Amino acid sequence: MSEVQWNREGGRGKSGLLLRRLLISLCGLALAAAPAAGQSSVLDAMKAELDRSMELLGEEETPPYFLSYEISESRSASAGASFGALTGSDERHERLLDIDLRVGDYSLDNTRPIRDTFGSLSFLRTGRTRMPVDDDAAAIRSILWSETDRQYKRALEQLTQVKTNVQVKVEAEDQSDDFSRETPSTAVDEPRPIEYDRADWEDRVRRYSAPFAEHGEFLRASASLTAGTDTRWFVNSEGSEIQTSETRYRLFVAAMTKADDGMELPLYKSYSSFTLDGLPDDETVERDVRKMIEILLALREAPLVEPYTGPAILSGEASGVFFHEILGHRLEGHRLKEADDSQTFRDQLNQRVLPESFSVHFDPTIRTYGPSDLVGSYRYDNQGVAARRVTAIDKGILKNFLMSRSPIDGFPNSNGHGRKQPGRKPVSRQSNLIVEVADPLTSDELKERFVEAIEAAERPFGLRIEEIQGGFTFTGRVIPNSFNVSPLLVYRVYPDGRQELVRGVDLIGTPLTTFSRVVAADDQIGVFNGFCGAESGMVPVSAAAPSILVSQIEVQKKEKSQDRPPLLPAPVGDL
Amino acid sequence: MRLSLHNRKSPLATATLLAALVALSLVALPAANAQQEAELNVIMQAMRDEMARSAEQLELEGLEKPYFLAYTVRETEQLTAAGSFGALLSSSEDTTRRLSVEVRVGDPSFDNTNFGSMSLIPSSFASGGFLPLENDYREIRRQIWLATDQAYKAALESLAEKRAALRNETRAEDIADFSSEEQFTYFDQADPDLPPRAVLEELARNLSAAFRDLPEIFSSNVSASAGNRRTYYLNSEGSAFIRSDPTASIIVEARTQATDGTVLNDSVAARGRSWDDVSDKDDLESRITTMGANLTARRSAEGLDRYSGPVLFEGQAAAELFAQVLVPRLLGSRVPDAEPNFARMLQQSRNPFLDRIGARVLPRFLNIHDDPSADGDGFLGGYAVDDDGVEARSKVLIENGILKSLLTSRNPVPGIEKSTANRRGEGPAPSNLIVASNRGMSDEELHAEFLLLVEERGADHGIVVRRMGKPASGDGPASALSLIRAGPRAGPGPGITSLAYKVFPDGREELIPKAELVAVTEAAFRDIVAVSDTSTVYSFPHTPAGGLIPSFLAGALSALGLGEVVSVSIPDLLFEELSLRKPSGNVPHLPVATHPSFDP
Repeated sequence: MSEVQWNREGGRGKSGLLLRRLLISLCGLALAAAPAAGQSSVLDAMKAELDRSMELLGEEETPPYFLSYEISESRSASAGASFGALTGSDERHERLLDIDLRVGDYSLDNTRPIRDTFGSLSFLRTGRTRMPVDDDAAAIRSILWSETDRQYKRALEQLTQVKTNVQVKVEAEDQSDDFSRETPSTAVDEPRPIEYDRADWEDRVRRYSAPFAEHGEFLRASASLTAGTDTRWFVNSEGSEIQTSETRYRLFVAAMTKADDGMELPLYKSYSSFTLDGLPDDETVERDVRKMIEILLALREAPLVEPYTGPAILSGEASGVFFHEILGHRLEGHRLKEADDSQTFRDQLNQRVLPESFSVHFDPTIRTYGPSDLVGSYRYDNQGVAARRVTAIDKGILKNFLMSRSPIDGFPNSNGHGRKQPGRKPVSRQSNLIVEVADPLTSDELKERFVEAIEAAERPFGLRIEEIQGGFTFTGRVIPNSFNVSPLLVYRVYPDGRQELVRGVDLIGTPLTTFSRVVAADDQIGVFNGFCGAESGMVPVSAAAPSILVSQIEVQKKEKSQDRPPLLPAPVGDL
Repeated sequence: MRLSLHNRKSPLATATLLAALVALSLVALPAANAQQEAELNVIMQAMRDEMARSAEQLELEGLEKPYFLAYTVRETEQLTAAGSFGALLSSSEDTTRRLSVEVRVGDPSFDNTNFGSMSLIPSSFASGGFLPLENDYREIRRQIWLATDQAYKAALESLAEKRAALRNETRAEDIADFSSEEQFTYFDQADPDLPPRAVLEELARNLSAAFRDLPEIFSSNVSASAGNRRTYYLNSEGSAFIRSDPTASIIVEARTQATDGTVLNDSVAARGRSWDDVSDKDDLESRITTMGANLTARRSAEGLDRYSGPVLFEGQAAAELFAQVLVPRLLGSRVPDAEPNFARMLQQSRNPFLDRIGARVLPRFLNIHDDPSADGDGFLGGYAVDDDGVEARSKVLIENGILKSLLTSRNPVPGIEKSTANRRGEGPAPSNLIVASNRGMSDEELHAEFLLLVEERGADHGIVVRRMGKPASGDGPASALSLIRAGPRAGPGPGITSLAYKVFPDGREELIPKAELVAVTEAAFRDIVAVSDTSTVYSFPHTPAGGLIPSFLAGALSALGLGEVVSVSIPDLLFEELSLRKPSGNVPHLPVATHPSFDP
């Protein structure tokens, strides 16, 4: 958990994209059933209680100037198996409430961060508020009422603290408002059903995970299928009324073996889609599983890489993660307002940060890229603001940031990137990151440039990074502003074209230096779908990017388990 | 269908016995159960095969082999549903099989356990895992194999660390680390039917709808659960068991604020072995109505400032007070060895009753024994075999007021070398605690005695407590956190009354909205002056301390409603003098808006 969460209270920034999280979240997920009709009665109940609250609290000495309710419904179904045996199969249904209640005014309100503290224990007070899963107006309003009261009292406390803090501390560098003014939105989508055949799914995950059992070398191997519908109802005191619904399907295969020196070697294969049919067929999955087995067995025998600096090629999928970690997190607008953030790009606006041929967009409005669905898409963000395409880097020049309703100097409005998981406060987060290159090379041309770069750097070999497990990045000031990306598959590439699988490295560096070394890209776009964890929780994100050539990267030794492999061989034989 | 077989001292090899049992049940049971029987065998068989291999071959060159191995698989099937204000909040159906592996290296007098390590060895937190839900022999064995390997390596490291820490010290108390016990086998194949999930959902909705007629209750919650836990156990000494522990409960919680803002809570709880035991809707509804009426009356009742004098605890209040204050003292929990600085901290959690065996801790007219065979009449804590595979038996803890023994697992404590067969989860817990007296008074006599005491003191009134809340019931999890933060000395925290009355000499009663007991410790129980001749049986969850669960955390977990169900049978208790005061802490404001359903 701590690996991917931002510890907001501690004032250190650390955020990342970590597939490993999926293993945990998958066992926790689950449930389906046909959605009930007429869900907008939920919206009506929310609207009625919101109006009543604004009216009654409006009579108080310090009335709220803004109130929003969001109810997030998750219906999910999942099946999981380990080495061919079923480990779980269930369905879940829950609804959670989030309230944003603000006192003060748009320019200064109770949500302004208290500067120069060691943080507070107030996070202990936050928790998930469960809402009825029945569309029962009285029960829904009963909880809305008691939670609104709680939030209102808390907001009053916060505003008192904020006002004092503003008086006591030096003037803030960023003089922008606390909350942006936005046009209200209205939209009602029909709730989507989940397609789910329990017996079939159980059978599939058994079959996908069974081949690993033929090899004693694997310590963990699992397959899981998950379907989830997220339905959201949102109302605010500015007049927004939104009901959206999105279903995502995911198949995830994971396995882990251990080298004789104790190093754990994981490998994952993940498939995401908006439809059940969008997942690959059995034949494809079974072929991929055989390939995973082959690679993992080869990785056990692969040589360790020593720390190295030199040229590298990142495959499309890997470069997508790379851009997400190293660039994306530093374009999240709210960070530029935080006194303890290093604000890497704050003063780089309208300056060149990438080669002229590179543009980077964040576009939640597109649902597919080539044949792949993009799970980072949505219609409205968690503050009810319509999603829109943001061109962050245009022809190498930094042009824009990802904005929630928390303005920064020069960017007074949201661009629909205020996101969160239920139970958290929204902040600006990434959506679908798209890297576009104006004059891509062909794959072969990129390889030629790679060889030239290896020779120019007088290195015996370069590295080709094929798959990335995830990574994390520090954007704070207390810890050096750096990143660490963990590749799963790395090859040494020699100038003569020979390549050799290696293991045991992490890709590290600092963002500005690394970007200045991106030199070329090809036309092979890879798509990565995953979950990103930061201070507002886990949100689905995507990245689509070409393979890139970096003239110099740095790798360090990976943290390694010191546990020996098991003393006895795997048990064999049946009952 | 229930098949229970006991075998005190097995003349047969365990494997043979198991085989015989399986064969027997195949004959004795109808076809559906025969199938299940064969399946059950897969887990036991995988445990046996992997244990045989580990016992023989598991050895890291140059280091000790394990001298003891035990495998426990807990298979839990649990249905839950929660409702609020007439609507369903959530419902779930979970099945898990959790494996835990115990590996001991060294010898019973000195092994890898009972050591509080300052270093966090990651593998020591991983000696177990989840098994597949299907009876896949190969996969079950694979998981046992990996968990045994990790547990063995962790045991070796702990033993080395413990030896290092004690190298320059003489142990103050030289007690063995593991007791020797008779081999025992027990197989209970009970497989109770669980109701459909929809039945729980419906009751959660219906019961919670009762609050639509209770305008003065601010929030409420109903949670219903029904489940079964089957435990499979095997150790390298030949003890083995399969035990079925079905449970069901319905908990209704309500919260409001007095007109001065004081937070008032109360709850209705029904606990049993099966859904039918707890799901009497009419009875629950009438109890909810009574609770609602009490809370409503408490809202406007006049608060108590402070009081010292005679206090009579009746029914649930006597049982809850006993559970909060005295029950933790009856458990023989060991303070582990540790590095010196850490050891001092751990010593603070030492149970003072460890040094009071043979001393008088209650009035002479009171006796307490723990009886795992009690069943029915509200007793829910019983079992035939404990989690160490030791045969359950009744034992006397307090006789004529004198402390005779504490409840223990196979982890000996000073003065008690043997297990009392009370390991439940990580450490010792009671089964059914029975408080009995040879000098009980009728209700009238007890009341007269109480009023006499009041009169003797020249006091205006006495106090009778009829219901007590849990120490954590203040604000839910936040209070549980405060228990944890308060550290190992925290104990159970102040007891809070949910239903207490001032009683005047003329018999008139006046409701007190809420009061806090001041510093009630085990010592206060010595001064009980009288008890009733009738008893209340009361059940509550208890999380035993031990292993990875330190005592202060165990208290918090119990308060959250987690752990093993323990029952107590106890008469009403009359204390000559206790102190109560109005609840400490500031009082939150009342809600700004009125409840939407009761908005005039």
